Amino acid sequence: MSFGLVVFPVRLVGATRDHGFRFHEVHRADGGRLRHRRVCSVCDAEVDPEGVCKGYELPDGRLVLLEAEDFEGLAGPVEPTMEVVQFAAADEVDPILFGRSYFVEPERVAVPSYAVLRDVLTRSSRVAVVRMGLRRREVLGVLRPRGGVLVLHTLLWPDEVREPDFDSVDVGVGAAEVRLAESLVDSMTAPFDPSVFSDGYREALGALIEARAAGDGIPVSRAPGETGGEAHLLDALRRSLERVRSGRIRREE
Amino acid sequence: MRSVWRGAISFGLVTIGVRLYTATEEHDFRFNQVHREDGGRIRYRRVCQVCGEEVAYADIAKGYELDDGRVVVMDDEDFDKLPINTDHAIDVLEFVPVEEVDPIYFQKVYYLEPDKAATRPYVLLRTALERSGQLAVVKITIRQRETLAMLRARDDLLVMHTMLWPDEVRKADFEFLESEVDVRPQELKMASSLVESMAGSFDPGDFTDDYTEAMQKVIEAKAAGAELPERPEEEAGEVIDLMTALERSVEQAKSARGGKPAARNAPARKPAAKKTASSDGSSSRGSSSGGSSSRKAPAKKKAKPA
Repeated sequence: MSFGLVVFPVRLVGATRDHGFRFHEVHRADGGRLRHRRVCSVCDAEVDPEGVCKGYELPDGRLVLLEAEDFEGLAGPVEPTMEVVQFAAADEVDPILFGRSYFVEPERVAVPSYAVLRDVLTRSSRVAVVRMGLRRREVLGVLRPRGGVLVLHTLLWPDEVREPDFDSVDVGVGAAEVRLAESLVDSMTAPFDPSVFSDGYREALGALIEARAAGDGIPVSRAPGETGGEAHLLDALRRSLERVRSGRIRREE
Repeated sequence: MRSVWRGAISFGLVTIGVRLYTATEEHDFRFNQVHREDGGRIRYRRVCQVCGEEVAYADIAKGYELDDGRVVVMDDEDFDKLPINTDHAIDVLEFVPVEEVDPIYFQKVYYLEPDKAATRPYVLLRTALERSGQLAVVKITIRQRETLAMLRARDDLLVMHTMLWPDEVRKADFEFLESEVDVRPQELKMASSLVESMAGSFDPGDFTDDYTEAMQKVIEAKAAGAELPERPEEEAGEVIDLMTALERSVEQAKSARGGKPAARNAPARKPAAKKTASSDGSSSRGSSSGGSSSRKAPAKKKAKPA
């Protein structure tokens, strides 16, 4: 990681993981795992990995063949360096750009330098904008302190954010409506605790797998929740507010 | 743009008909595996490891391997029996202050377009979110999977960030966190100066994906049968101690700015785009991003060793 002339070694560790169940393809008849064999669609022969290269199809249908060496060091840094290119206010980076998240772990010798950068970011409410080579790609990212650890969020490139191409949705709304909507928002405001929410689908899938493993039947599905009906906007807002206040709309689990 | 979902936000007793559009797309080049000899596309032949036969698509099932090595074979009907919510609803569960939501949970992003008849309540919700600095915590079912998501105001629109489940964010239990680290005040002070001298307002448009551009050139050169572009040389660094490195960096950053605070020559940006969720809970409103910022500032330059 390089911050001005301060350079120190760090590692990246993936900060997130998919908690879904991993399935393999199996042959239904005998439960055997399937193996994928590469076959050429032109000569129909099985091709070993050495016989395979990458192809890019041009708009005119011609194929450009690329070998591993073509990808080596493509403009990116040869050394895997995470270079701080600027600092920015934390609330200035649009989260629409956020890609993957990684924890940045300092090597033992780098702990003091790491701590300085982390603490200075915390105090200044800033994030560090970095650019780096990651998996042979050049990536832009932001570093921010999270607890005692620096987290790297990779960023999408600006052209990877699409422009919404539907009509403008700017219409005037009445001050009374806005006030009422704000009261409703206020009355439904609570501290955010993600651990309150759980992935019902995953839980049911886990139960199903267990049941199948034990040779039981399949668990029964539960009914979907109720949704609100239609009403005049102002009236709906007012009634919503009353309901929230009287405690009938509760936080779902 | 094609919508990927259609349904309604339900916010108290208010219902807002909306369509969802994917807000982002990767700009990477897509490659296929090709047989080098004849340029034929590679396809996969699925062969069963038990019976050695090629298996037709219709005979493939999903298998889940248990810890004891047994495989549970699941068929489509099994998945059909799972409790899936087929509601086309975005249920607002609660509202939370923007800074309380840790962006580490953010996954995919969608734009929300209101149905014609729903424009007013849509604008109302967007306005209420913007004015109160809140995000709406919602539940939505996309492709039969229920997920937690956040609605936020961005410019004139509502955008939705789907969220990871809490157990999908790993614990950061690194060893170094247990050791006491003394950050010396003078180091912190010097580092702060360096941060200030390298601070600017963030504009992703200042940066280009050199890799993808280089890839473009390689593909073009190959297509034309020309020589491939050379890769740029890298310079080697020098090892110095932390305090010296900080001091020299500050000097360098200052001289790169020509010693004067540069004028802001960027076009004005829409304030709504600046609303972001930061999880550290501290307010960053106080930090000025104007004044000392510069488009020409050291942003894209490499810090060359002194």
